[in-house]
Amino acid sequence: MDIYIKNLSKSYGNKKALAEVDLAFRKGTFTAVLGPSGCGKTTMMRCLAGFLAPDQGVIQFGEEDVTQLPPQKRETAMVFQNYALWPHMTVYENIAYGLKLRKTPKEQIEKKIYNILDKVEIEKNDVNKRYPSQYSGGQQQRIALARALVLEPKLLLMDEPLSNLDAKVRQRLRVEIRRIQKDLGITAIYVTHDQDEALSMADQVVLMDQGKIEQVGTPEELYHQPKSFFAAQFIGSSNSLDVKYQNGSYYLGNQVIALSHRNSSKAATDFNLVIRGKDAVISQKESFQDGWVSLQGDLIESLFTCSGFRHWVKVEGQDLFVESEENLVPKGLCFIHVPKEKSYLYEQ
Amino acid sequence: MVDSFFLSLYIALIVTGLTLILTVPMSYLLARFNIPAKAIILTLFLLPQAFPQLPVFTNAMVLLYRWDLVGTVTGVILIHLVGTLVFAVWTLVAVFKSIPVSLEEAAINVGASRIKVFFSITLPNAIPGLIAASLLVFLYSLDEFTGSLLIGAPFVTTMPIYMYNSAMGYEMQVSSITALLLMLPGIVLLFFLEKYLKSQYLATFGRG
Repeated sequence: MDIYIKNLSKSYGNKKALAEVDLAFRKGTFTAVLGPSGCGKTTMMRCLAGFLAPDQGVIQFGEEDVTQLPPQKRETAMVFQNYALWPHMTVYENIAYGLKLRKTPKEQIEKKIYNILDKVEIEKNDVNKRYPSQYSGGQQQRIALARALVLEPKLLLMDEPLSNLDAKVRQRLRVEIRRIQKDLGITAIYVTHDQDEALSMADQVVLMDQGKIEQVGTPEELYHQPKSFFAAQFIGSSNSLDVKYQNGSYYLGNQVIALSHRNSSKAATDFNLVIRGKDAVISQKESFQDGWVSLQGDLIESLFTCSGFRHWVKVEGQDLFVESEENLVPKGLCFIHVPKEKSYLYEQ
Repeated sequence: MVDSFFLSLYIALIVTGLTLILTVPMSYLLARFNIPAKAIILTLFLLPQAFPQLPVFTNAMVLLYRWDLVGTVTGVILIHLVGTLVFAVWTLVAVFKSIPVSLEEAAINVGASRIKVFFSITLPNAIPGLIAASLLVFLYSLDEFTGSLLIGAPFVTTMPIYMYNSAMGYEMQVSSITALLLMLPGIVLLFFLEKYLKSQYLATFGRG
């Protein structure tokens, strides 16, 4: 069953949290909704779950219009950032709660719970006696996932489920969540502000900012073909430089940028040039490569990162960083080259 | 003396019960929903505390005379409620606020109705707070003197009034024993409260 959002809007006072959003989620796919805090991603998720009523627009589960349906009847399952396990119930009772509401026979409840606990890899011997607080954060989130999945929901909603966990557990659970989602063939929507999480887990990434959708696409598309300045500078570790268009060429300060003019609507003169630290090559010898954008700058500082070095460079009074494997000494004059197709230029 | 001890307990129990019945739903609504004039309602509850007790009770006495409730247990219970409702509402609003909304949303999400959520999720998690609030209310009512004297005397003799009477009559031994007896429930309950607050169940509280 595919899920559609059509022309969905929601405002809080004067602030538009969602502005005429259109989206489709294909059956069995994993969609990550990515954006900075306050971009409307959580609002969209709460509208899908039914906790918020949109001001206008339609939410459809398959053919069925669910916009007016209360959350109890939507058959979505939500996983919360703070796990939201019920502290006064054992783990078993937590997972059984929804099944009991559905009047599932006892033996079936037990079978389903043990199946799902296998899936999320929680030891099932003592779930009858232990309370959620006796488990680690990562395990608690697995239990929360089991509680959501045991009901075989039409849609699995996850609201930053990993952001309270430490880095190692987070890495591990990313893979696990993805595996479980594929195994069960469930449609999943995953809200996050962490681009690594979104790009590594999802089939489809929805990038949002200020209540609007900036770009929808596969992780590769978003990374390699950012459609807007926001997309380019938000995804990957990027530099953004001010560039002017004058007399038929682009200038960064006094340096000419070897990029051909793109069709822009107005006779715009101010542009943003976005370069990812990973795409640029830095050297201390003067060189020129055809098909590359070349800049001349002043190397200020090199910082050790585990995969290499991050070099801070001043180009015409603007800061940018470039990553490379070797350290560079001495500091001072340096040359930066970026492939043309990876120099993203946007009107300001 | 024994009579007044049981009368005091009786009044305190009824006051606690009534207070909970009146304040639990109200505090829940105030804590969870955007009720218009929420701040005004809460301040209104604090208002009797803003004035010295004596004028408040004396004014209440005028009303209670009109309703023919002076000198009755009902009157004493009513005058105790003036104080306890304030305690209870302010504590319980905080208690309900400390329970993460996501606990309730998670239950709604798997199909539970609002009422079911309140009784199966919210209330069990609020129990430590409810117990703390009822203990405060119970002890307040047990030890209340000014209101009880103004409204209850001379027909309703609670423990504090009995103690006062015997002290006035210079029966120091009797009033000392009464004072000790009056302390007893307080000490026992506070002991119980502390044990309760330390329990492991409370430790999960707020961490979700």
